[in-house]
Amino acid sequence: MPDFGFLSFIIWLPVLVGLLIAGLARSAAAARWACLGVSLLQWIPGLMLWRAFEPGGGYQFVERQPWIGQFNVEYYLGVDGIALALILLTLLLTPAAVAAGWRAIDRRTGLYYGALLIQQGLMLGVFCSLDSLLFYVFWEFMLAPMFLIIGVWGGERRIYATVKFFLFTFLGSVFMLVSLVYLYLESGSYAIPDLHGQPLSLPEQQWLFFGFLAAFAVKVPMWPVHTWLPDAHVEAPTGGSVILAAILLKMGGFGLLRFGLPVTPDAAAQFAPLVAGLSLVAIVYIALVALAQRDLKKLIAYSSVAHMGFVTLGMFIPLAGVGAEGEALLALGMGGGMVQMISHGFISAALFMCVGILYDRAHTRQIGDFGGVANTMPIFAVLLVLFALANAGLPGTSGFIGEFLVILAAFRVEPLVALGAGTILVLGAAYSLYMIKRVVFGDVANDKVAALKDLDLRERVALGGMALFVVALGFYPDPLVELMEPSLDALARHVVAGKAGAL
Amino acid sequence: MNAFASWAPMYAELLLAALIPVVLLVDLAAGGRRQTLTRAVALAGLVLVAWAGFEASNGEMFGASFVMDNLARLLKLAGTLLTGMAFVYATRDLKDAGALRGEYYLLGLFALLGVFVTASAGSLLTLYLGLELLALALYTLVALQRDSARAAEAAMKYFVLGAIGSGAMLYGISLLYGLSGSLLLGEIAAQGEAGAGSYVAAALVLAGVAFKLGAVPFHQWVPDAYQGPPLGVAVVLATVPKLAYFALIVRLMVDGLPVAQEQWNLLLIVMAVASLAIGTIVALSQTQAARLFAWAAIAHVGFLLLGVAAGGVGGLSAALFYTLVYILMAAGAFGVVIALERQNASLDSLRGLYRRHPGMALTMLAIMLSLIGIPPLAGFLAKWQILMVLVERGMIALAVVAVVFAVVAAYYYLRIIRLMFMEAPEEEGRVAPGWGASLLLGANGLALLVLGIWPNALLELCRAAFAG
Repeated sequence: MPDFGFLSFIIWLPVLVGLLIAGLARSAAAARWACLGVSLLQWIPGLMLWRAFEPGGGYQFVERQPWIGQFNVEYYLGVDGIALALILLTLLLTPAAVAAGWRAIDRRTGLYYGALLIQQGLMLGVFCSLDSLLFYVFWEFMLAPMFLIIGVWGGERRIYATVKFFLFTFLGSVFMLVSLVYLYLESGSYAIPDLHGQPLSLPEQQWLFFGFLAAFAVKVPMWPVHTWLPDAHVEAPTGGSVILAAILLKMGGFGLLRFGLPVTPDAAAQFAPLVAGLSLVAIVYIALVALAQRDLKKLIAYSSVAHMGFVTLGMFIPLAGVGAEGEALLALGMGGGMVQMISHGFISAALFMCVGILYDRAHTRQIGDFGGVANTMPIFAVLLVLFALANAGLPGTSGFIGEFLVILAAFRVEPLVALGAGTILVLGAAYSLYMIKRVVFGDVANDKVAALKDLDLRERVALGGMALFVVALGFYPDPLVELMEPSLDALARHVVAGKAGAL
Repeated sequence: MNAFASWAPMYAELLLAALIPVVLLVDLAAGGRRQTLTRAVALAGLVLVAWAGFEASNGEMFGASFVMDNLARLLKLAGTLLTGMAFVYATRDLKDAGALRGEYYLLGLFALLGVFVTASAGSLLTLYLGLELLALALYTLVALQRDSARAAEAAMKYFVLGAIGSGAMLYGISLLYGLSGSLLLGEIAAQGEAGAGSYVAAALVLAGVAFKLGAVPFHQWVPDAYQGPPLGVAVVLATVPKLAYFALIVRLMVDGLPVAQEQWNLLLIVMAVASLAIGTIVALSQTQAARLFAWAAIAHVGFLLLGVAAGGVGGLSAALFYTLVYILMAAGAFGVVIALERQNASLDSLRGLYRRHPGMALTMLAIMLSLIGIPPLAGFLAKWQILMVLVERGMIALAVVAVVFAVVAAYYYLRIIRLMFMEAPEEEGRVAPGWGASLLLGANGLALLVLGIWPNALLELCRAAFAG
């Protein structure tokens, strides 16, 4: 099995097919079906990867060959449990993103579906890279298809939103590039495992850490560099929003686990209170902002920022507290962050799709324009309520597990932080239920709502599938946890051990 | 046979010098009407010149006044390629402007000869000779459109400022000669001692170099010289001469003036940062394609000068890689704008290009992403190498400044992408650039991708140019 380049296959198949679709597809139907077909076909190698993966076996399915010999850059791929979980998330959710634009995208369909597939391949490339320059290549190139997806098929202020998205993320990323270059000159290698092992003094680590944080904090996004996200989400077409919220944001968290924590562990520990503080601001303040939103998409976008705050909180708060159980605590926090990322991937994708469904029918996203949707769209209403409650962290849904683990980790370090983070359970419930009350329940508000048609088969399958995952992970998260646990434990050991002492 | 072989280092120059009268005669015989024939002869000749460039052996002639080495060979081949590309791109525009005459090809070839001589210069005399040959051909090219007041104004500005620049450099050169008693760059480098004289000489020479390259504060001629003449002339101006100026800075400053390196390096860094800042910021507000590319070119010059300032084999080969990739991108960008069939196109003519010609819009997309520095396009590798040498020399602050301006610069390249893909076209109807230009544009865009993914060959060539 390792002889066949599975990782190369899942990265380059969508990129190549995407190029073909963008260049050749003459009819919209052909582009759609080809895109859906490939994104479903990708499940087969994905499933095989999952089955063949041995938790605790380090980096697996490794492909390694020289790329730019002069500077020791390699085409070096491999996955651990953390990366594989995110790869599976990407593979599972891409068809949903395709389905989300099925009818709404009616012009330049070839370019759209081509861009979507290329985007998938590049995101998978980010998760698979074990060479930091290769990582950067995928990471940056990803901006191009997303720039087009938001800018060509987006809403009214799409150009402002997409330029802002591009420039924000680009500015963050270039600092990471400088950090990577510095690390190469120190270690003579761009390979990520080498960077993990490279001893660095504390002042060096501090600068490098901020280089990484600039890139990943923008992507997550953390308060106060989150401002591109509400704009990008609101203006993006539904499929673009799904990709952005469900997968793109996860790259920020993934990057912190790949670079921020293990390459500069001592600096990460030193600045953990800062990052945890920023996360807490995101959780509390942005949740309050979400409460005040009138636009459905904006509400979900802000709720995404708040929930991603949990991810960074889980990764950094254990580092702020020292103690004998540091490793276990860090593994717990990071595990909570990872579960939260996977769960938020499904929930936010589903919620954005729900908003897209309403928008396609009523051509408005204002909460005030709806009311009593349950009367005309009963199936939709059931699903929307489920996802909204999962978003609020209802036990029995995936949303609960991640938040609970993070709060648990935070409590061990500083109960007050746990208390602050716990407010999300109240605030999240508040903005979710308040939204539900205004949109779903009550009498039919107006003619527009009266004319709404319930879900068609495509929408039922997509939303139903995501609902299944949300509930299944809520009751039985073991497969996911078992997949990631050994990798997280190893990572936690490495981070807690630190590296400044080795000098 | 033996006599012929002794000229081996000069094959390319000899062939090019022979080609020029042939093109002139063909143009005369064709009565100045059928420029297609002139162009065909010129292009066929360039293929031969490129072959001669391959065949020419490394070595010195005329007592080391003329040097053929790896650097010279790479620059000559690139210059030949770019001149040919410019000829193909330019034709349509010049025809529309009523400026398509045989002289265009002749002057283009003369400029290329100037590049060749500069690239191979081993003494102050050859260096200056090559530069002036190049400069005179360029002044005349800018003035080619005789009835255009703007072209005349641009030519005048370019000529007057160019003369001042050349004068400053000549003064510096004469000081160098006075100090060392030799015209040969190798002897100057060996004999010279650091002192007030060599500092003044270095400053004067550097001013001349900066003028030629269009680095701040000697950049004022650049926007006018790009915008005044037809785009078909601007595409030559923006690409081929940069090779000669790169050779100039390497031969004269790096090889010739190592004694004053510390001093001129500081000046170089100041100019590089100023070019980056001013070029990038002014480019933000441009509405004319040619002016935008001009200001952006100033910023790119700043980037590549940082590589030179970092120095060493790594720095110089990074700067060489940057120069080669940059002129390839610039040629493609001008090629697309020319294909839009608008005289002195405003950026608005790019509106809705994706609807009017998807292939060309995708080509331009690749070129713009490469100019921004998005991987895996070649422009990224160029910037990345400069960053590496800067960090390696401990100039991390400079590296940060450079990447920040690269982000600012992304804004105006994104504007072009936005116009092509996200705006409605001003006029309907497909763009028809002609098959030659279409093919070449496609190849140009693809080359940036291919060089970005398989860069090893070019990287090795750039390194070999300096590592002996």
